[in-house]
Amino acid sequence: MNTANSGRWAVWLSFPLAVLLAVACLGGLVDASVYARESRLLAAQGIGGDAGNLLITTPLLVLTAWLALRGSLVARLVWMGVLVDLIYNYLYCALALPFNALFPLYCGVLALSFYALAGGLPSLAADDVASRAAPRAPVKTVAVVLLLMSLGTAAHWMQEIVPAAIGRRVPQSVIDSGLLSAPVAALDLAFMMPASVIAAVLLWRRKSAGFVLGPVLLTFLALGSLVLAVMGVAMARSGIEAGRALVAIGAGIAAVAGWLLWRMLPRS
Amino acid sequence: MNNPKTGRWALWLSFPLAVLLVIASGAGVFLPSVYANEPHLAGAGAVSADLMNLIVVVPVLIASAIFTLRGWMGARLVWMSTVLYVVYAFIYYTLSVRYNALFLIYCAVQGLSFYMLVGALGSISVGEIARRYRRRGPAFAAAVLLLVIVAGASVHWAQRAIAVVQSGKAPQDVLDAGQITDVAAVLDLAFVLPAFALTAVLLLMRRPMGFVLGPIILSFTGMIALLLVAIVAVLVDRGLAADYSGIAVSGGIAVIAGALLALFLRPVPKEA
Repeated sequence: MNTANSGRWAVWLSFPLAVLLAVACLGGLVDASVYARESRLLAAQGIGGDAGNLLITTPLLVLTAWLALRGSLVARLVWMGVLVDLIYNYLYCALALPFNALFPLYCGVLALSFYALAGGLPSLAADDVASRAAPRAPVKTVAVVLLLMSLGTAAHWMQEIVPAAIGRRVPQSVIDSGLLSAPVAALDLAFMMPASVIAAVLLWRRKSAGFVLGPVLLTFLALGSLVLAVMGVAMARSGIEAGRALVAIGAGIAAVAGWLLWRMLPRS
Repeated sequence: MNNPKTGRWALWLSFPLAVLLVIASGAGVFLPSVYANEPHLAGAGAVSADLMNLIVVVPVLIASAIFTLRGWMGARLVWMSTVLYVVYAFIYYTLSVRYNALFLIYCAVQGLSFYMLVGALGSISVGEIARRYRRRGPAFAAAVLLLVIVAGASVHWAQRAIAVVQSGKAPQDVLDAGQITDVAAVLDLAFVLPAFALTAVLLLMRRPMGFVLGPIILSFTGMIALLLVAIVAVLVDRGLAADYSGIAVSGGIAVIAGALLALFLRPVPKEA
């Protein structure tokens, strides 16, 4: 594999993507009508998410794309994690949030993120990544963390979904959100939880694909948690009590995931 | 690669996926409580998708999995398009159908189908498929069909986008269906239309990947068109549409896509 020369078109998509992302985030921050139809909680989370994506995700996307174009394998892995984070977030924004003026931008961010990731994947040789992994990479620790994360996520959703199913009612969080369904639960249970389990198993068995999936998911986890912390700040500023706890939880998970990511990334 | 030993686990998962599909869609069709909270239009749309799953998707999924396990290359492409259709359809079920007792089954179908597709991607050999279909596949006609669909859909979505920008509100039909956003627009604009355009360009340039994506996208197109036919039929049956005139375009696209797919996958005559 030549990370500098293969799939370059996909990496180049990052720059128009960053422009769309920045415009969408700025729109959410400056236009009060964007989150006007949402509950106070969802509006605060939306504003926090926009601030986090503008201040953290957008610069990280541009930086990792630029370094990936210069041939950095580490940057390529982190870049893919950033794209996974954007697909996750913008699936939610585009498909689950009440329609707003930024809708076309959400579709644009989603499309560019998806096709950049799809175009970038074939050019990444898992064997090459695995062969360049740090000799003392905490492979089994990461596998356990990913497994615990997926189990924790499943437990979190099941403790709400199962009693609701038994009682033949809609979960309270769905009613409170004003949304049609439970989009975050769907994204977690259908996509992220299986991905974490697969990555954990692959890493435990030291399969090459695990050395790609592991860092990508750790990037997703670290970045998503950082943005979650910024959401917590926005919630606290809106007078929502849970905001401060979210800052602590988000920052803590981001620190652990970031440290594990640093130890897992290829060294040469 | 058309090696039945490659990606077999993904093919075998077709059977539990089919069971989950039958449970989810059977409940949707036969238990009125499932879509009791949906507005009439959204409920009719969901039942149409359920009928499509039961009548077309599950049989094609099972048949294509069996033929792929027996080593038929064309069946693998049809199987991939069927799984792709399930991923597409269940984005609606998980995010657009009002929360109901089947939510966990929807998530299971969504996750299973997505990871089956990802798992199967590693088992196809682009070069081998391109060698098989490059000479005989109707690449130009398929590309024209896909580009016509992209052009038509682009005009449709552009008109809606202009109306949305002018009014500042979601399209009226979205509001009438009790939806909070335009899910069809997201799926079309972010995923389907770029895939169609990309496939058409690759076919016109006669790139190997075009001959892999071509049959998959044609089969997927046929299924989407059949879904639209099912929606019109259910709407008429429930008195929500006046007549079957909406079927003509979708039915036509389904027939053309099916014919082109058959031309792509027709058996190669044995050389003398």
